[in-house]
Amino acid sequence: MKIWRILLAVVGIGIGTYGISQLLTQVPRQTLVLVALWLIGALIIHDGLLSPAVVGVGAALRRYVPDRGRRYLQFGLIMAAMVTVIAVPMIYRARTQPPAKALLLQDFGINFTVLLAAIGGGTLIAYAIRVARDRSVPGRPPPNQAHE
Amino acid sequence: MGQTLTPLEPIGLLAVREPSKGPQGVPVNRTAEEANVIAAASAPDWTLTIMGPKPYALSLAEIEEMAVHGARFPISCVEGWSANADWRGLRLLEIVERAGGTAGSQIRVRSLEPAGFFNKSVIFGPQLSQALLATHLNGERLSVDHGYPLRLIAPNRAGAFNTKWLATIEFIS
Repeated sequence: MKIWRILLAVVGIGIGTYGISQLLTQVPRQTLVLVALWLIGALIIHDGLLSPAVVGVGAALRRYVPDRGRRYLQFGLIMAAMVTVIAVPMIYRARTQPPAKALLLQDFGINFTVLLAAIGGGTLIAYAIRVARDRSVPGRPPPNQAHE
Repeated sequence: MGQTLTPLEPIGLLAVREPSKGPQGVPVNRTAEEANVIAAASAPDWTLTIMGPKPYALSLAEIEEMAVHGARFPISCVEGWSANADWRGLRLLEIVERAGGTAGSQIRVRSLEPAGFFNKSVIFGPQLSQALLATHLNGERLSVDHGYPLRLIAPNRAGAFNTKWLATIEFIS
């Protein structure tokens, strides 16, 4: 096993070194500065904003949302966040291209709202089914009545 | 979604491109304005020059008269979309043969576009045998964004090599 690890490390470091050397020799200085800015920006947004927000929301859910509903809410929030990341640049860039290209012609604001509504509705329906099932299974009372 | 698997287009709520919304039902990647060809392409005295062993030229009126061959070819763009369309025009091979070429010739077509990587392309072999010099797209005269007065269209070829706004046809061999 150890020999494989060493082999993988050597190959990985080799490919990485090749990539960096290509970057330094093939890309103009000005572009490299932009690449560096982009990487630093990505780091700040990811570690400074996104990660704390996700951890914070996760902690809040654990604290304030009952067990049974939490996973449905988590699912809905994750889906909504992914759709948001895709939709926001589209909303921002809509109708900026020559019409002949058939590019960015949709009303992305409305479509984004429709998708969020579908995610919200789907999550609610899934949760309602879960609640109904819990009620109909004999000997398994719903959690909110179990401790009465 | 819907850019390559076109039946899915109506549900692509966040799709960047909607192929059916392009002019004449086909999107355009490079507009006539971007290519800087609007004046040259709309000139009534435009001619197609064929520079072969027996060179000749065709006027706009002659081209229109000869445009009787139809074919259904897709445009498959490397930018991630494709669209099928009905094309009508002249058979490139007939034009080449009249200039002294054969199905084995290697042909370069040049655009009116003054600069850029895609203002020319090379065609030979089975593509040459099937290629049209198109005047019509989906039953209508080509719009200037689609290559008016004349464009190349052939199957199994990257979209960008279906050269638009043709000006000359040359023999490489």
